[in-house]
Amino acid sequence: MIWLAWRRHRFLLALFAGLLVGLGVWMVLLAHAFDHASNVCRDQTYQCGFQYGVFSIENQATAINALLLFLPCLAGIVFGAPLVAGELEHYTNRLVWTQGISRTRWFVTKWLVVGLILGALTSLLVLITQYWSGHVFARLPLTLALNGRIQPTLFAVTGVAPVAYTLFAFSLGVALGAILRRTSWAVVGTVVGYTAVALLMVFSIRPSLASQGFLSTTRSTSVQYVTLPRPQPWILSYGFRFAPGTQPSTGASSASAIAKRCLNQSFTGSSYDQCLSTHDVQGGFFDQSATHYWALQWRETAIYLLSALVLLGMALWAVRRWRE
Amino acid sequence: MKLEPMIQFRLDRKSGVPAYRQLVDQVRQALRLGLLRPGDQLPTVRDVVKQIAINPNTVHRAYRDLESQGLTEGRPGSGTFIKRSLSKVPEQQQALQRQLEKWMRAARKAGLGSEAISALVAEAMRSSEQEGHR
Amino acid sequence: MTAALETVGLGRRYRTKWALRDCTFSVPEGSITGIVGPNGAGKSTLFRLAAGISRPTSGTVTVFGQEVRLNSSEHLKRLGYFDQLRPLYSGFRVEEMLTLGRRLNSTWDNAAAREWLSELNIPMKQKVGHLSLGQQAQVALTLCMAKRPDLLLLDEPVASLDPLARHELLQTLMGTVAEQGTTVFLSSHFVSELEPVCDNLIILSSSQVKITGTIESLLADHRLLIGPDGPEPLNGVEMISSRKTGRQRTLLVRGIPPSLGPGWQDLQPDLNEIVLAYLARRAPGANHKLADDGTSDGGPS
Repeated sequence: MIWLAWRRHRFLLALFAGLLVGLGVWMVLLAHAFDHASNVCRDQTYQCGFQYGVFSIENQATAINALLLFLPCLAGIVFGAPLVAGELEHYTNRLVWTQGISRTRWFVTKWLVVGLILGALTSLLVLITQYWSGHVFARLPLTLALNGRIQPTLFAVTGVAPVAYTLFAFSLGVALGAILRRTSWAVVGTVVGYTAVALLMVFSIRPSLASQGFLSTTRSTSVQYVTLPRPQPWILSYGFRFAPGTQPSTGASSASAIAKRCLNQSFTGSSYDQCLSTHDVQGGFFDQSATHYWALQWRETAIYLLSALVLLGMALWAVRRWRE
Repeated sequence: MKLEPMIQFRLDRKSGVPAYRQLVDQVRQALRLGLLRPGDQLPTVRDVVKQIAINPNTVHRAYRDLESQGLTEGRPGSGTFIKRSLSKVPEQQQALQRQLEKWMRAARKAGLGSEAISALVAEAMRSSEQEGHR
Repeated sequence: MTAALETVGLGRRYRTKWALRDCTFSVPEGSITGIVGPNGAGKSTLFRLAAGISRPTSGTVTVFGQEVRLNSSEHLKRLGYFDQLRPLYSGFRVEEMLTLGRRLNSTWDNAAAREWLSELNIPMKQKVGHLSLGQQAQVALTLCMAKRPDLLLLDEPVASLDPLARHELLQTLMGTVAEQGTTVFLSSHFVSELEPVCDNLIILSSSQVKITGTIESLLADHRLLIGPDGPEPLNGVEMISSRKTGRQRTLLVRGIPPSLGPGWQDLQPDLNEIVLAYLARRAPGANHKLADDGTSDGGPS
């Protein structure tokens, strides 16, 4: 059965590996080019940077980042969706389920062979991505906002999470294919489902996976500003909190409610800042510190891997239940 | 070692005669005509069935019938072999056959068609049976 | 003697329609049993139930005494299944299909498989998708036979094959059966295909079994009566079909007909006529009731 799983998917796996190799080579070349430019333009003036193609390097880096973000979903639709659905559509399940092995063994072997190879390929790519992001993004003068792996676009392609994303997308495709019994519907469902989960993760779940920090803003003349530590944290949202050490009286309103009242009052002339400090309320940015990178990575990986296992179970149930 | 098949079976699906009986009849006919002789080996069940794609049980049955008629004997490990002949006096039969062919040529020369010849033969057979000859 | 395949009240319903209903028969071990019926009669449903890729709505199906379950692989060891659609992986070479068989089955005779295919001049290195229909059918049959099963389930193995391919497939099949004593259960639309190879016949129509029996007994038990329009001599026999043309009536009956009046002929029907009569029959019992004036209903007019 291992032979069969390999034989059926070897062509696509080879193509996928080729794609990853291509990406890897591109990344390594880009890192070297950037290193070269950085070494020459040690003072990192813009003019020097442009002459040595740093601008173009950045564009390419953005493109690579986008491709890397899409890779898990691609694996899901290319390998996951047709794994079971393709057999059902071509009726070859009638052939392989009447040989000498059970459906469970057939399905689990297929899933493991393809899943493990995808996981291994993605792991290798992630190593190259770590190297690449370390060289290209760590010292970029132009796009400070992308600085740091804690930022969402880099977070999703570095560390260990991408391997979990790939297995999840693969599992999602397999489960949708087994339940919906049509590759085309499974493809659509995987794209929609994976994207929805990814967005949910970034905006709702990941911010809560570790304790959030708070960077209170200081007022200087009429401008509020905040000094960002290095490496830059991931800014989540702007909001209010009670100053540390102060205790809000029981039954009192939340910090945001108080801030809102202060704001309303400030329209009638009273000082907004004074109102806030009277109530021990601070305004500022909630953030995830860059030091939380690995904690977030491991926790998110755990969530995606568990979900992948749940989907595997659902797909197995659908396969066992299938009757002509 | 594959031996030359001594007889080629053929099935007439439209005749209404059961298949096993057709096989038996074909062996008997071959014996009568001297095409099969004692000691010749009949094709194996497998070979017959591979040749004309019929149920092996049919062939088994035909061979069993032939064996019960005493015409064949099965040698374990070797196959089924012809035991005795049906053409009792081969030389006499050949002479008779030559006479018959001579008569047939004369009849044709006289202008008799196949139907008339068959009718004559049938009449002659009938009257010989009536006379008590087998 | 154990039955190689046995069904008791087997039925399969898809939503509101019964594809197979109240199906009871048994296939004796070592026999070649055929099942004949028109499209939509339920033959393929029956095969899929016996192979374990479908689940019965009612009744049971057992293979060598073991009930067939959807996910068990126990019964598969003794069973070779040939699906009507003959699914194969068209991108695989012929020898890779054999590797598939070898890897997925515990018993596998690769040498025999290669020999069968080389006798038919099917090249090992050729991609399955490039083979002719007849050759693909042979590959599919080889996959079933090389695992040396005790029971072969063949759903329309020779459908849409040209006469030569059909003959070759049956030759291969009969040769293996002669060697192995395999029980075979096969289906077809055409009685003429089944008659030379089968011991027993099951007639299936409108999702129900009409009659089963050995071909010999079916032929012996039925008579074709042709006579003038008028009272029918039906004491002690069951009328299967009745047809009136001009001043003549043709009846197919089951049983030993009584002494017939003048003008009546008592003939031996061939198997095709028997099968057609049963296929046209609506429900047993509906055709028996006769009015005294000899008119009756049922059967094709």
